[in-house]
Amino acid sequence: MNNLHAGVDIIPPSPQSHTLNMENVNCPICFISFSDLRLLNVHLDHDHGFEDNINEPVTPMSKQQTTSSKKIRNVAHAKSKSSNIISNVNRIKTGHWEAYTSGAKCFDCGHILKTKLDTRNCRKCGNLFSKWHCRNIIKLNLKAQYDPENGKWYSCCHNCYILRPGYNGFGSRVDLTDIFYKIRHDRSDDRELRRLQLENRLVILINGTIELYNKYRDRILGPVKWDYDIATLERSTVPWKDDKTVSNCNICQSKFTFLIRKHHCRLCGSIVCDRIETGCSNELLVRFLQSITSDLYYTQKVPEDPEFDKGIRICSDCLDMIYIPRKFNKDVSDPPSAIISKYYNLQNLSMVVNQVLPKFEDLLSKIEITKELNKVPDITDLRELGKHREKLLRAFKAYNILTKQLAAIPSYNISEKRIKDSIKIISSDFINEKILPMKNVPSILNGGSSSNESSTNNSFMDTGKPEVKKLYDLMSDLTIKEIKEYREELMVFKEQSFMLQSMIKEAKKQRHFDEVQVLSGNLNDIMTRIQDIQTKLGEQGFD
Amino acid sequence: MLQFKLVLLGDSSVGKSSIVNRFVKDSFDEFRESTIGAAFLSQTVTIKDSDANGNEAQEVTVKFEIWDTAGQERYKSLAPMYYRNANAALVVYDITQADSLEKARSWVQELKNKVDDDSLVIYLVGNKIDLATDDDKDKREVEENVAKTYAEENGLLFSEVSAKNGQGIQQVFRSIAEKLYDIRKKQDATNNININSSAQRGNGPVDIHLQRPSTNDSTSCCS
Repeated sequence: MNNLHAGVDIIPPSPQSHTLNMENVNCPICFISFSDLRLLNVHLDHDHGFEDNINEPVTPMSKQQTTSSKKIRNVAHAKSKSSNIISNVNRIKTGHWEAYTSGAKCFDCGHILKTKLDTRNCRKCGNLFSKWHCRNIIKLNLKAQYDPENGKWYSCCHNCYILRPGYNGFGSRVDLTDIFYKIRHDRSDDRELRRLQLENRLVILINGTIELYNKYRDRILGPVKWDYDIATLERSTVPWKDDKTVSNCNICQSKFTFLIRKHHCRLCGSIVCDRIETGCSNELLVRFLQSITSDLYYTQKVPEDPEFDKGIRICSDCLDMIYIPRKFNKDVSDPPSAIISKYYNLQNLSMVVNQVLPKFEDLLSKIEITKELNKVPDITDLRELGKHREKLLRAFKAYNILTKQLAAIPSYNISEKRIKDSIKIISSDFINEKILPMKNVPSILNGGSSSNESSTNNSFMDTGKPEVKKLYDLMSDLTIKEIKEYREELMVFKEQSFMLQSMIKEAKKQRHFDEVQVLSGNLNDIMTRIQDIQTKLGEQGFD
Repeated sequence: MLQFKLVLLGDSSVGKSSIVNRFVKDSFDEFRESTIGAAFLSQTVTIKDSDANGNEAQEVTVKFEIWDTAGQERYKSLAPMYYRNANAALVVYDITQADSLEKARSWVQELKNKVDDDSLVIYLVGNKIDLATDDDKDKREVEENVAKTYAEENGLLFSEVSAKNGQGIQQVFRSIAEKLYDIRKKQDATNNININSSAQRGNGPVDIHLQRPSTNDSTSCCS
């Protein structure tokens, strides 16, 4: 066997070694020596059945023999010329294939290939693979080189598949953006042109109508002439479609009958119905049309005369064309609704929380660890923790208030209600999720300060209490600003009550009893007001 | 005797307390500290009542319960306690401070919005005319006719005074008293009640004055 292997080693597949022209090569199977590689190949093909194109099974005793020289193909061609020239010409080379032996391993996964039926050669690299690892297909030419243009489809291994030039892992990509832009641009240009055309017609119609009205308003036969002239004006603005050519409404396609009459849109000239259900066309007052298109240039103003109730019939398509861009612009320029602006505020707050919370948690765990080690936590850490905590609590409080305010906004339709509901759910989830780490902090702070008692640090004992109180604050309906104002007011009133009491005393001293009466009446008023504010403030009041 | 509640409103340091002081004690303090909360003072004035025929003059005593409020913003919430149920409001501004007139306007507006008593007498007073004498007109920032026009448009009484030299102070309170007396008389007339009997009833059956001469000195020996 050692010899056999040696023989194999002697015959390398590279053409370079061939050019070295090794004399007296031995056949690795029968040890007959040959003067030339070419002769050995012929011998191998012929006597040992290594010929590429022959279907007969390789004899079990034969050892693998791989060569990849051009020669061998030429030899193969020469040999099989007689049998089928055409098929040979069209077949991909197989000389580089690794032959199957029992115990051969899949080149990819390394599993032993049990039978030949389960194995497959990669058509490109020629290595042996289990069936499952040679399932890609690739275009190869007859030389087993990747050739996307003239090649045919052959199966290949994953490695060859991904190593082919131009492979990028996600398939081919063609940038169509420019084409898309062009198409879109063309379309919107068309639309814009159409819109301008319609707007021009509208301006002509409205100006003309008002002019004619002013011309005939005081004449006896005015109305008759007015109608006639307007009909002429309308037809000159846009040619009307012939009634006879149309049998269905241009928009809703319903058939015109005795009840569903034909109407002309004065802007596009097409024939539409005027059913209320479909709203295909409507006669819109000139007054209204001019008000919604106030950005257009009108030479005539709608007369103040309330009797001027002339309308222009416009189909819904044309109306959309003119009205929707204007409505859109208006909606965009309008300030966002209360719900939206409140929601933006909520988002800002949640961003603050998301930024501060990780810092806070890091500090918290750091302090916990030092406490577990029975060490005194760093004082600056504790102070920092307290600061973060206060910041978070403030954010939560504002968040809570905002949610409540949001819930209090009346909703005008179902979708607004839905939006509000989902914001409510999200925000309550957010608070529940984020507020959890806050709950175990006071103990740490208190514990921290108690272990710090020796260092006489009372600041945390001080902050501990109000912070617990701040959790209650989350339940209050008042905003921070309101609380501030109420507290200020309460202070003023308390001051005044104090002053009144001393004034009453003074008045009593001086026997000004009528003044005492007035003053105590006022004191009572002030006291009721103080009571009012205190109930309003509830938890937020002074101790 | 008739009693009326009068409240002073206006921006801080326009001279509300000085006006009251001039009216009640006829004195002036150059270095007065700003008022805290609201101070209470009372003073009586006597006016002559001309009856329907216009020939018979009868003396009527009117007592003012004066609430002098602090002008500072901090005490703003206190003001409604005092202008509520008031019969008259003295809205004071400083003729050398244009801002103070603006503030006065906002007070007038607030009074009109919050007090739905039509009979409330509002008197617009421009103080500190002693600072803008004929020789030195530069200090004046609010022209008299500007304020006067505003007062006329809004149905306010108006005059310019000086608490320092007392110019016009008594006249202000006198005209308020007359106006209030007129209003009260009309009200009573519509209620078909004789003005005299109502005045007596208001005072109660027995009119006993328990007051001793007023001394504001707390160190007085008989306290």
